[in-house]
Amino acid sequence: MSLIDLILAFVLAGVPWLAGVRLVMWLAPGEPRLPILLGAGGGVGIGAFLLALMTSLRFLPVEIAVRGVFILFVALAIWAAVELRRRRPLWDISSGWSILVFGFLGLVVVGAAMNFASGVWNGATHENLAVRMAMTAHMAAGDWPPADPYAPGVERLYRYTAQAWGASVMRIGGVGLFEAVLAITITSVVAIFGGIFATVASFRNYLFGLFAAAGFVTAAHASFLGLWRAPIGEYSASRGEILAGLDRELVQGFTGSHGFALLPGNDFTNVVAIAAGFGGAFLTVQLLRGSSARIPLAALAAVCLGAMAAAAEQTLPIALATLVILALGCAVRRDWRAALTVALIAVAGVALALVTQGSLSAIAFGSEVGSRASFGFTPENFLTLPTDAMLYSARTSPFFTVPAGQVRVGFFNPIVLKELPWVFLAFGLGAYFVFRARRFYLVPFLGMALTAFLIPGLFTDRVYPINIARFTSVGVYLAGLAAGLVAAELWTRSGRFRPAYRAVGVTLMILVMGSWVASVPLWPARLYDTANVSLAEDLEVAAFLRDGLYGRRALVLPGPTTLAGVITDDWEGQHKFVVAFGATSIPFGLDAYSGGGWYGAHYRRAYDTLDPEAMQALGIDTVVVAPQLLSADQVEMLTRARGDDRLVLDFVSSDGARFVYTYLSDDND
Amino acid sequence: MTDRVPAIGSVIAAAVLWIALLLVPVDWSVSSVPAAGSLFTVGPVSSYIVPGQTILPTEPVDRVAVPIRVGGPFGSSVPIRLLVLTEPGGDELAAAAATAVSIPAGFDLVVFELDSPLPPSRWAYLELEIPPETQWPILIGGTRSDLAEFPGQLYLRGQAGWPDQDLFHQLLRRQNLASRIPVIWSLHRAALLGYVALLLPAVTIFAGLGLVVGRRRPVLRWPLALLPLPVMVGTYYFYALL
Repeated sequence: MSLIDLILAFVLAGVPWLAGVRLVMWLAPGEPRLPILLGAGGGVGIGAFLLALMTSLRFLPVEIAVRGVFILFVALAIWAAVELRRRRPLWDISSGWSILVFGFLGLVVVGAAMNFASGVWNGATHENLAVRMAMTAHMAAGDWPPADPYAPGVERLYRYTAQAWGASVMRIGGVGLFEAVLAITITSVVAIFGGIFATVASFRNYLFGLFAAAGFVTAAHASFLGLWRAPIGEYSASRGEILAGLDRELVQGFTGSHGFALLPGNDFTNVVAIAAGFGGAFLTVQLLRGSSARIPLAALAAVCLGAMAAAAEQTLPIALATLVILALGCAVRRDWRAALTVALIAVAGVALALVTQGSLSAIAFGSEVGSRASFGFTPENFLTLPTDAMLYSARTSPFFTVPAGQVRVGFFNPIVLKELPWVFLAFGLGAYFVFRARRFYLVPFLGMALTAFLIPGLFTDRVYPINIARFTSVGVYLAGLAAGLVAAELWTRSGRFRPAYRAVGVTLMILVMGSWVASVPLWPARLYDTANVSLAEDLEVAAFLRDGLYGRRALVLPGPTTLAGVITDDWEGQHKFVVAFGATSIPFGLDAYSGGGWYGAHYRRAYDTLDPEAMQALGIDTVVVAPQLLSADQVEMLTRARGDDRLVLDFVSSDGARFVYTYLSDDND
Repeated sequence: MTDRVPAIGSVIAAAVLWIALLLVPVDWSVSSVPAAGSLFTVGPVSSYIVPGQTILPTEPVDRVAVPIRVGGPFGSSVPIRLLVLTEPGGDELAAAAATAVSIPAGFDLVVFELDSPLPPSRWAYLELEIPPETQWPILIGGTRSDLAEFPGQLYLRGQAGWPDQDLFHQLLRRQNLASRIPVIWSLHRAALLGYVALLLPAVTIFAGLGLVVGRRRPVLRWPLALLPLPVMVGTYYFYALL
């Protein structure tokens, strides 16, 4: 990793943003405020870029598609720079507020970068690296549509879109996997903040925009108030050591889910999707405010909606519910044209999402490979939330205890009231402002958060039940946004009860942001130690594998043979670097979204015995070995294979902690 | 003149707080603590069944913490002495005395403050001396975590036990932040850079806050810009480590 690569990656990730500013200037010609143009440009540009890229990839060769889309967006970005210089839009925020907001945004960005980096280099979370970044690396090195890194002969029925953006940055800039994905993740985090700020500020004011954005990015699932009585359960004479372990728990509640602060390190694809979603939200708001460019606004809003859905399918039902609420609101006001336009955005957005390849098109049209996601209607769970840990954050919070085996709790269970009191406060006060103060603009924001909370009580994911908790995650972020709006309403109330309103508003924001604020000093603790004790040598092996022709398939000894193994720190984590940074397949069939059963059975035989039939069936041509971690049986197995001239040593890392062999099957003897 | 007083006062107070943060000695954990779930009970131990542990500290050690359970009524206590020898039956390197108390949680994490620091990178042997007149059964915490930071092993009556079993212990070093920074830089560089990266936006936030509030109340500009951050950092830091 070099600084030049990092800068280049951020410049390339910033191209859609600046292009988005040009689109916003075109669609909102009367908007003179630079904070709005810059804030909205990120989400709009990312949405437009993603859908252009995915549509091009569907119909054009990969090199032409990537270059063509980048040329188009670089041209738009240059045009935006020229227009900004010519028009000189107004920066109408005082220097004090500007410094404060940029400081806060800087803190959010540093947190996102640390959480992301710890997931890659410190083994803090693993799915981001081992699954999503692995897919990005294979997209950058291979052809289109991308093969599953864990089932290379099969299409993985998974969301690709954010990975495709990362892979395009790698292809165009020649930068590394870490730099590319870090750049698009951080760009998206800033775009989310800017998108919420611009959307809300465009129809209220900057204070409302700031509160809403701050609520969204800091909302957490666990209440910091429990910190004082938390049964932490660690034996340490150092409170610092105990506190260091609390970072995740502070922003991770009883759903085993996670606050937005942890999202960049857990699932960068969601971050990208949400950024595109708020681009669409800004455009929809402009449309409803009576802009003259209705058709282009609606079309680009649908593009952003489609890109968001393609990047993270679980966001689609929430966005659709919000659009339905908006359409109904327009219909109640007898603004039939606006209602129809909003409905058309929803329909066109879904249609555009289906143009892209991945999970949504597989759900809609089926697929001959893998198992697509499938959902069941389970109204018997109405008004409940899942309690189970999500795969990549499977740790127990010290702040609560859900009895073992209890997979759901009711909305009004004491544990929910204890961990998320601010959600109820925000909804209650929000309803008050809607009905008593006629603040109808709050309805869609409250509605989207409520939808996200209700979905896990109405539907189940039949392939991976735990995945339904993703809606709860998004629900908490959206509730944070709504709480920010409610707090801003309280802060700006006038009259003799003004101090009381303000006190309630401040209390609400403290409850929303408290866990995040308390976790800030603990972030660097995630970078303190690494589980990857031979990291330098893992990267040497990855460079060696990547330098060869793409398409290697490796057996990793010792290493995982199941999904559960992939997301652990076991075997010094060497498999993560082989599959991600080495862009080499490990064909054990990760899960049900690809040919998991067939690959899993064959890989297990190959892993246990180097069975020639299994090795040949899987097409394994490479064996990566950590000699110091081998069992006696594995040493004997490898010695026998070397004696039979099945294994030829190709590479030894600098300190001898990693060997790479070429496996000679009957085909390539 | 009136504006200068809070400004100069804030600069001085902030400087004092930051300097205190750098110079006040605190306890740094220099060995990892195994997960609480890996703790198991060893004992009863006594003046006859003497528990011990070989250690190889990577840094000088001033204090040693050991979980000890007193099997008497809550509140009953037993004075215990910790001896550090060069090896089982060897010469004394350091000693400390502390009191273990029976508490509802079971194990009481007893911290022994050594009379002289242990040198780094040299094998040593810890031994707990339990008075023969103790009327309550005494249990100690063991672990099977087999951490790299625990290269030694558990001993009972001067005899080595299973090689993967250890006396659950934590080694601590008293040091100020100024002298600790080079150690963190060499061993945990990313974390140190992380803290620097956090400080920059945090300083910016409070500078902005000072400007925003200072427009209406100039007297608050400098105190708000300079003081909250060292107060917050100091509170967290001293709560965590002092």
